[in-house]
Amino acid sequence: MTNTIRLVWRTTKRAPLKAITLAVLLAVAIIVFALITELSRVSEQGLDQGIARDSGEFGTYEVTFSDVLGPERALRNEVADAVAASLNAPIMARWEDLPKIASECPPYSKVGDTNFRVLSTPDGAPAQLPYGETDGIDTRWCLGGVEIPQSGFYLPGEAERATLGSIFYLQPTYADLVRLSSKEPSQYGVTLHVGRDDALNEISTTAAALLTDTAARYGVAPSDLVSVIRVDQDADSVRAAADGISTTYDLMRWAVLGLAAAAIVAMQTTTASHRSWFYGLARAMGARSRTIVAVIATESVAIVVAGSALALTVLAAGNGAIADFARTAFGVNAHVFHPAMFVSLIVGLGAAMAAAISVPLIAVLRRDPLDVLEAPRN
Amino acid sequence: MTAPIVELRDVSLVFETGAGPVEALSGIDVSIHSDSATAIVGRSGSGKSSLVAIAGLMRSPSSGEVLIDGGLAPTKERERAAARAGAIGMVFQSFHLDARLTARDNCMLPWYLGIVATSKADAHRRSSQLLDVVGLGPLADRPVHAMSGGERQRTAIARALFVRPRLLIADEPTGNLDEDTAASIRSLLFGLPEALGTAVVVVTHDLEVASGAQRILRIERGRIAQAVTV
Repeated sequence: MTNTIRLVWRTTKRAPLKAITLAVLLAVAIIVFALITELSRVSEQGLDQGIARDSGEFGTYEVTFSDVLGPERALRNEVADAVAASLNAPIMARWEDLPKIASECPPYSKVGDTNFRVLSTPDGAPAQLPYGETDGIDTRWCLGGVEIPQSGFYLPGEAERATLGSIFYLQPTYADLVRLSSKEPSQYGVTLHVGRDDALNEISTTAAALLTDTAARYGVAPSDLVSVIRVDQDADSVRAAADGISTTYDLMRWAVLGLAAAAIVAMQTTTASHRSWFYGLARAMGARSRTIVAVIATESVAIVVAGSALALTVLAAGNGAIADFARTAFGVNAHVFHPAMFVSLIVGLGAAMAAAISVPLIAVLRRDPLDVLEAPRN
Repeated sequence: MTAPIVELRDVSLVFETGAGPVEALSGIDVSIHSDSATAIVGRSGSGKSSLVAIAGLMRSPSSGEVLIDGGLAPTKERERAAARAGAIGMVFQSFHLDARLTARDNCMLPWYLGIVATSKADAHRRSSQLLDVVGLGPLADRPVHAMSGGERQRTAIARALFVRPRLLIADEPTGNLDEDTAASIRSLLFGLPEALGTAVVVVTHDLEVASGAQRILRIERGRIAQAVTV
């Protein structure tokens, strides 16, 4: 093997143009591949964030328990936790929708009768919201002679509306005041992030099954004790467009690498064909097939290794500049040495190398050594 | 008496063509002993090259037996290649040299390809000795592209001898050379049995070249028409 490497080195050293050209071609392809991969990753991330901001987290559901279960806090939590565990879906929030009330102080008609939501974290602690921000609505509520100041409310702005909805959130401190101002009961529920758009029936069925005994106790159907809605907007067309962009990037980067690989395979096959006398002679002298494989493989591997080393050196040198440019121009954190890029690059280069070895090898081994050795050649 | 290096017994070779089978060789009986110098002459298409392809274990006959050192030659290509590696060297009309390499590197090709297992120093030393034998000692490190036709064929002969073959087969080795150069190559080849103890078989259509051999076999239409011991 060492001798084979020496032989390839000696022949390449005396006529290096082909090897250098192919290595540089491959290096350029790898650099473009890495840049497109990172561009794809960054744009995909940006699109996902944009879609989530505009349409809500994909596959988010609200499970609302019937007001019959108002006093059954432990049961509600137990059912919610069991449904979440069953679907492997995290609980994003727990909430209480207070009964609809109207303000008793002017301007009475500014927002009319309103539902307030009291939001808790998944473990039941009060959620930290920027209370006081009401998206430009300057309002206050008076109930039973007590005023709830603007700092007691939070109305999500445009950016948060897809996730939190267009409802008023009330500081938990004021929740009792609202509860005492109405004869209507509160409704309780949880928000689940399942991550798919077909889980509605599954959630309903699972929850209803868990409430069978309770339903019998109250004399109602289990399905009457729970209702489920999907809260994120479908946004299928936007997601399909995003997938299309992602697919386009994938096609571009693999096409670049594929073209470079095809050029190497074509060049190596042509070279092997021109040097068929060499392989014929080697076989006539009694060289083993694995030696022939080694000669062809050494050259192809050397080109791939040299091209990769050149590309990685250039990328390493330019990584900082690329990151600065991406941050300044697009406001994103880009870094070309992303692990996902290396995985796909290694797979791509492996396939290119296998083709660059096997195609010329088959061409060489299919020819009868005597045919090439007896053919005239100066 | 020792067994011949290569012996062909009632060998025939038939090629299948679109127009039906063509008999390239028929009823060939030939023995090649060590230290011998044999010339095979005949017209183009007479079967000379087919005969040496079988004698050189490059092809298997359609019928008959091929013996190496008294034992049946293998028929599978992998085993024939292993048998060739230690016993037979071949030289062709085209020199088949890598023009980018020096005469020495071309001579050492069997070492580069792992056919001869020895140290680099030994391989270097052996290439020097062989290039001296073929008269190219001073040109050992000259690139082949800067050599004449005769020098190239000498380099090819040195390369064939590198594996220490007991039989060297040369198929039309002077076909690409002028008369004077052909004469010097003839002297070199037919002097090898005495110089190195290597048996030599030269295929040629040139009777002048064949005249240097100890034995001349004339092939006609796939058969040995005449065998002359000089």
